Amino acid sequence: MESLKDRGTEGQIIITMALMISILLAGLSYVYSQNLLAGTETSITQLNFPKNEIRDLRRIAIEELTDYASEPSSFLDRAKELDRQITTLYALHGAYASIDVFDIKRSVVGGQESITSFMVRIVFSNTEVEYEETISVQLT
Amino acid sequence: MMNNYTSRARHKHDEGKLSLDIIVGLTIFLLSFVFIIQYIPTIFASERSEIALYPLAYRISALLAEDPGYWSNGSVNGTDWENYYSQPSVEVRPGLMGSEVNVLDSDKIDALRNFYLSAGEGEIRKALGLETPDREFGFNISLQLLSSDSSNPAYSTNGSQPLLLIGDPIPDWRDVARYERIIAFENTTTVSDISSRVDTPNTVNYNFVVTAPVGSFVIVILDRNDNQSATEPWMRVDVNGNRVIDVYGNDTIGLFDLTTTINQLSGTVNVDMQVHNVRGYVISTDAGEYIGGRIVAKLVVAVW
Amino acid sequence: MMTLEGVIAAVLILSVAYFLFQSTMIISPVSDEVVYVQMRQYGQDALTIINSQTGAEDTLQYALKRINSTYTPYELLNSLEKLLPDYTDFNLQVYYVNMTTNEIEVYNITNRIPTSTTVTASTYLVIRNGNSLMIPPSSSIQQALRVPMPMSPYCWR
Repeated sequence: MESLKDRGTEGQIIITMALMISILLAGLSYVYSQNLLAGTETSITQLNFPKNEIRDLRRIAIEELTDYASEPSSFLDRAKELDRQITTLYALHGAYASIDVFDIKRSVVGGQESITSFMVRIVFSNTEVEYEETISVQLT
Repeated sequence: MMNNYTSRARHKHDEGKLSLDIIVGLTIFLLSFVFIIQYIPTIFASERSEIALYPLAYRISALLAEDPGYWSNGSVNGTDWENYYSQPSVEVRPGLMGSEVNVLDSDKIDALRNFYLSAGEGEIRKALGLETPDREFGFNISLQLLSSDSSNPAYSTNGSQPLLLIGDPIPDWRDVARYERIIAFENTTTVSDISSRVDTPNTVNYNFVVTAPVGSFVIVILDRNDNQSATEPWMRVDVNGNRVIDVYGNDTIGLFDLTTTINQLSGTVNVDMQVHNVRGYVISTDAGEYIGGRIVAKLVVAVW
Repeated sequence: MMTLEGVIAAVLILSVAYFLFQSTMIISPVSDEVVYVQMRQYGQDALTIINSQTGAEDTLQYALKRINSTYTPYELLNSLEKLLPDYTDFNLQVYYVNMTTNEIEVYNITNRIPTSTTVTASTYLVIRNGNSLMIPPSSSIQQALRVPMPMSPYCWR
């Protein structure tokens, strides 16, 4: 401690402490700004997550394809056209979406052909989310 | 004097003397350092109530409006929690969704209200996830008309009771996070005061009595009753004796919204309808407005 | 001598504090973003409500089947005004795939100009058995449409 009282070094303690306080201040404000970003990012996550787009996709796939299945002759053509339009429109939002119909089971009753069931694979993919689902639709 | 002191004591390093201003300076510094260390936890995001509240309000509104709920007693489970919430050893997560997202089931709404009345605030708090080991959140969940706002809340009512109003009154001295969802009721008849079919090939008089102001009063004429008949459909409607609607032929088909006309009056209002060869219905409700073929209101969730 | 170091120390702390407080990150309020989340939720919910399958006059299905240059869907726009809060305005557009050119085209149901505080919500629907917009009738095949709806708060807080 004696050497600290030599002239020229007494003030060093003050400067050192001031430096440490400044570093502390800068560190605390960094933490505080991360805090603000956390609030902003929570909002951005909700704004960006494609919850409603996936829901709309599933709803369109199930409802419209069930409606198309009542006319078996044009079923595949319309399903393909619907898939094409869905892919084009979802691409506007930067996402890839498609509905793929496969495994169509038909039955012939009294000369009339009808579709009894089919499977549809729904795919949605954007930069953050990948969603895939295969649904089996039974028609009475 | 300084020189004397330092030259004499230079060989005596073990005197153990500290100068006063070093001690004072260090004390001040350490005190402020301790103060700042105690201040740091309050800066972190999870402790700042304002940030934590908004996602919470959003989550609860999503749970109620987009999920039908869930119940389980360990071995059996299902989504019809409205039948099981009062049974012992059954865990319930409330949800109000009916057949599609944003469409609410009246049975579940009644069940949530009764659950709150019977089990109390603490149980609902646990069921909604508003209770953590170090914090209990206050909440207020209600169904309000679309035109209501936070200074003048106008609740959806059925009869004279609010359809859904649970939780404590919203305090105005704290940070409150509020999130609103627009919802529709699945079953129009259960939330309407008047919901009557108007279906006749002949001429019939209908009379309705409502108390102004109403949430909505609409007459929906879908079609002629009898397409074969030669006579054209027509409709005349009087509100408190004043003729407000007088339509003939194809103008009769459509939606007639009498809400604003009725709400300009006050007290009891008489609506007299004379129709001929029509098929439709009349709806009057205080639970919401008639939009898109259903009664629409908003679900307001406030947490603090 | 000590005074000089003391002064330098004070200047050091003060200048660090000054430069930190000058940066805007510290001052911007946290709750700003959540207004946009709520606004987008209103738009999304409103579109869900008017996209119902009940066949009423103010649904998207009803309006889009009949829309052309002479028909403006007033019931639909009225219902949207009722659904959305008073401090917002909205613009409604329909995006669809042109059957002949396979390109995406847009039809503006309203022609309002969005402001800088605009959020967009959208929904998809398929028109059943209707006349296509602007296209000669060839509607044995239906179309999937996207209806984005930017809204801007006129005044808030």
